[in-house]
Amino acid sequence: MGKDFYKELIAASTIPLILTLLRSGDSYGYAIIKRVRELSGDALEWTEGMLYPVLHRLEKQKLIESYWKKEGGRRRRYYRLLPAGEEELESLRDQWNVINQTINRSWSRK
Amino acid sequence: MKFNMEQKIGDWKKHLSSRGSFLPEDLEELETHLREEINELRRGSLDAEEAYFIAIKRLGKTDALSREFYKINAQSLWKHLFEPSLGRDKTAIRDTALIIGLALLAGLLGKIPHLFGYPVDGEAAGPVYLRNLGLFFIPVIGGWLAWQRKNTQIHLFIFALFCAAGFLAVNFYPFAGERHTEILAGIHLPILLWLAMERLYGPGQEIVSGRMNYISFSGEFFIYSVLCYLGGGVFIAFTGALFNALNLDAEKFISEYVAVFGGLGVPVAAVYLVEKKKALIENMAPVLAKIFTPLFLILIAGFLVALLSRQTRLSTDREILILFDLLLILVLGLVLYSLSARPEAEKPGFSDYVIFSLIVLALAADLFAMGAILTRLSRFGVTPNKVAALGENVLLFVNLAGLAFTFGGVLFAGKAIRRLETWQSRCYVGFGVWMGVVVFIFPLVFRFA
Repeated sequence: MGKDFYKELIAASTIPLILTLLRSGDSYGYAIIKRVRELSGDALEWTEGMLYPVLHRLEKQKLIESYWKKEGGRRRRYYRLLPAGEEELESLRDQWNVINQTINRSWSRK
Repeated sequence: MKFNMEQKIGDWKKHLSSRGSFLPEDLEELETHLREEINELRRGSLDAEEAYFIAIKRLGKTDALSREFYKINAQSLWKHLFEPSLGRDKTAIRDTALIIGLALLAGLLGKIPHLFGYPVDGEAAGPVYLRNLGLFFIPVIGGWLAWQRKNTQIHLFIFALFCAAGFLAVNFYPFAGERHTEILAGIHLPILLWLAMERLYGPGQEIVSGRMNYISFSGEFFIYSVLCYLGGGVFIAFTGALFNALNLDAEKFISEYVAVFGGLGVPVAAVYLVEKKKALIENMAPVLAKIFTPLFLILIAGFLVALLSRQTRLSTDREILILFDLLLILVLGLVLYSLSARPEAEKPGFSDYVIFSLIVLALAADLFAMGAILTRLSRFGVTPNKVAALGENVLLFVNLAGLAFTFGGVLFAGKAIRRLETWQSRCYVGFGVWMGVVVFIFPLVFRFA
């Protein structure tokens, strides 16, 4: 995780990002971290210590579910978005958009 | 030294597991992740060692990792112990059925003396059951382990030889008189057979680490057995009380069936539990060791102070010999447990010095006690019990002294912890040989008295 970021900002963006990535297909921890790194142009470096607990918490809240799949001799734990997760994502997206717009507008006025 | 990736990953897992915040699935998930990261890094022309260290670093600090997982797992860790996470698929049901069958088999073996006219509560029962105790359940466990693993034929054969030889010795030596050697053989045979089972537990493993794994397996087995026996004791108390309430005497039923089948079934079930629920005791045992190591350090220091300052006489019965044997075994157990959870590369910390002091003080206490006892015991001549207890004391002393020396090397001279494991693995053989001597040679030397 970049040291320059506010922790709270990272924490708040984690869930919408995870849910969005899972909407385009089931995925697993390592791939999610890699994808975030790419999307952010190497600015965001998530750690497992942060990601897995969030994934497990989302699973407990029934927003996503996990299943094991055997690949190349090892089992890998995949996560899948559930309908409740999609609803949550919609609501989060609305909230983000409002905040995003507000900040952008306030900056462009300067 | 060559970099051993599998061992490093194993150490790392052990270290995480000892934090007590992870479920077995979490560890598996993290391990897959780590391996993937390493493979990715190696594709970018890093060598194995560099890739490992960078990948570990990316994972985040163990403390933070463990704290985050603890937050979500705190409630479920205990539940996990009792929940049959197995349960669902067919092999799990088959495994469970098999182990129940084997536990019953151990109980049935325990009923064999009854067929030969020795009911459990009969007059001559004591020696018969005692000397065969190990033979009722350890062969069953050995058979199960062999069935679980592959490539065990030769080890199974050797183990069977031990069982057969033990059976012949304890049952066909012409014991007579006070039969001290018979009782000794009966007590030592289970330990001998247990030690002889090591290769069945980890057939393909390299000798030293195989033995260390088996030692920690044995400790976990012990903790699970104690837990199960506690439960069993409650069950027996209720059985008696409930039937009493009906004015029925359940005592005969309890001693002939519940005690035999329960008593012999528990170790079999405990082995299964250790295998299936390993991670949970792995979490618990180091914590127990951490709590009790300082307590025993204080106890032994207190004992030494009292012994040296007040000139009170140490009583010099044979019981004191046995007491000190047990004390050294306990210290050995605490030390091995604390060390097994210790990550290889860690810098020496406070708890390491506590362990080291515990070993040194225990050795000092043992030296003083033995010095006092030996001078007085020698007056009463040589008896098999004394020789056995003394032999064990010497072995334990040498074992702990070697541990103090090698662990001191780790702490003060930065030597590898591997030397300590090699030493422990040699002592393992020493104990095995001595058990064999007590079972097979003692009766001959002391003329079956």
